[in-house]
Amino acid sequence: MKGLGRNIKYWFMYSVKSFLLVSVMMVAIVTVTSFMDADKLDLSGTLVRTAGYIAFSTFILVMVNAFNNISVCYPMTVSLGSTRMPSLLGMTIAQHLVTLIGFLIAGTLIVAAAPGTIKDFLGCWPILLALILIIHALGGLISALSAKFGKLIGMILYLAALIAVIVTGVYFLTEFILTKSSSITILFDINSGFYALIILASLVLDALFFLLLYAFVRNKNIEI
Amino acid sequence: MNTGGKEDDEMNEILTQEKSIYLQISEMIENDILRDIILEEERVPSTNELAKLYTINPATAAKGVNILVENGTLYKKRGIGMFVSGGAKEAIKKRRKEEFYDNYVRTLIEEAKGLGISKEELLTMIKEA
Amino acid sequence: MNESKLVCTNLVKAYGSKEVLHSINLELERGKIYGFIGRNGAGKTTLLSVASGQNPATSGNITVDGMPVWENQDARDLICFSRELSPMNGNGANTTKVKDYLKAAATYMPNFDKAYADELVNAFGLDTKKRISKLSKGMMSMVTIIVALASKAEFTFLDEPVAGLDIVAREKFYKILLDEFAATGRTFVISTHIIEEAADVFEEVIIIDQGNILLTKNTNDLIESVVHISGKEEEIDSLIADRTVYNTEKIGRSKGATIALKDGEEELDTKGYDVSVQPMNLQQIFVAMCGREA
Repeated sequence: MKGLGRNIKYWFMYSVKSFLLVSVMMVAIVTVTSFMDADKLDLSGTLVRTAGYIAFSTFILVMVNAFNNISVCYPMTVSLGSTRMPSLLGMTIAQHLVTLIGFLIAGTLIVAAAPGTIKDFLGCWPILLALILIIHALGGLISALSAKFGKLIGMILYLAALIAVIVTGVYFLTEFILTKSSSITILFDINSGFYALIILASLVLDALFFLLLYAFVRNKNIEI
Repeated sequence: MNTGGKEDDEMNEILTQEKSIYLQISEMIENDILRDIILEEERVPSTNELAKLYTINPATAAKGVNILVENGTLYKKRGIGMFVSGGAKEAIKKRRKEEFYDNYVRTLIEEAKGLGISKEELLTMIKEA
Repeated sequence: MNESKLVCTNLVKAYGSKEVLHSINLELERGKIYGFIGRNGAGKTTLLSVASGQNPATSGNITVDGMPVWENQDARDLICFSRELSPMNGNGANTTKVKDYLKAAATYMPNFDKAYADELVNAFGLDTKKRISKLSKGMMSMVTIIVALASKAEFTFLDEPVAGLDIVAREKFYKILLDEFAATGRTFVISTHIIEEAADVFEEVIIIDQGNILLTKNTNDLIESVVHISGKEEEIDSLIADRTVYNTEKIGRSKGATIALKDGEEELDTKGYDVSVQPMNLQQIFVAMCGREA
């Protein structure tokens, strides 16, 4: 597809920049607070918390950018000469890539903190993949609906999604890994068929909401 | 536009609103030829140079130059530019003499008629000018 | 040198139920500078946005070099539409920095000339670290101009590029434009409200009024084909009886009229009439054609 290359290049640069801004800020907060809280430095705890927050910031990024990308960045790319589908594709591909990279960084930190958990960590890749896809599906839905119905809807959905992510996300990941609660082993016991279904379903939703977004913005007039 | 030297005298008229730009361009070149500012067999500024000098579209400058090519005042040397033809100065004078009646005398007579000035009064005015 | 064109055929654009462009037919040739003039709301920006492929037409065709423009990257790469920048964007203030905007332009425009853009930034004395929301209107115009010129696109559209520029900056712009045109022969379409000072730069002029193209004509030819006559009302009425009249004015017994010369007519024959005949400049012609009260 002509024009896809330049879009992946641009959107990737832009998403990485966004990601760095958010995650560096988060990591700084974590490092400072853990220095302030503990008498002696709990290195592995800090690393795990950092990993959690980095993973968290990839989610935040998707939510925050869901509105911004489609209402500011995407129109600018079209105004600078890009055709629409390649820009949307570039946007989505770049976002998925950055989320993946964020997860890999987080994973590396966790493994560095507790080398023994590498097997557990690798074992729960289906959950992580499903999470990435679901979060992007959610982001896609917010993008599509805010493009069609305006900023207010986008903001409301963003807040709702943010609350949901806060409640289930970081707490779940970091606390369960740290305390090694028995619940986590249940996740690994679930047969692969169940997981294949979840991954397939989230993939379908991700693609579906992307197409919905495309349908909504395909003929929308760019004013800027 | 001060570029120093000979160029200072050339083309220092400005464009006015009263006549088509391309006509003014060709007249200016003719005026410069009459004043020996550009001599016969010398190069006249290119279309792009004229366009740049007067901030006009090159096509307009070209139209003005073309008039002079068509009436033989200028000729083209391929790859080099436009040059003033031999005998151009005399030809311009002759052509302007012929056009003098239409351009000046007719208007003079019409204006005089409108004001009720007789031909004798007109002739007296001219003699005493 | 390519002879291909950008062609709009029966182009209609409607926003919802409101039709703003009515079956436009327009041909843009390579190697010309077009002036695009029309009143506010006539449809200039809309036409440029659709003709460049940024926005979809409601119906009709737009092709460049024979290729349809809509969602065709090869076609869109031949066209640059540099819009008026705004201090606001879809999300509030436009916090994009000028240098980031230029970098994005370089990424998206395959022929973007970064060195030329830098040259122009210096020539205009622009601070590229500034955010767009913090720019004056004049500086925003400069950014629009830089993107358009450095795009090196075959067909480049500029929408009110001199808005906000003072007279000295405007003169600079016309000179820079003509230099670039002389060097590359790219086609430019320039919409402007400041007509008379730009008239000499336009080889052809396109006049749009209420969503219709009134004419596309060589500027010189247009100016030579319209005259203003004035004199006694009866004489004027008689002279204009079988002609296209764009405007008339009356004071007392005197009447003035702006009329078009007939095809092939080089001069108005006023024998037997006592009337004044005066040429009109582009601005005056435009006002006569489009200046009626709504």
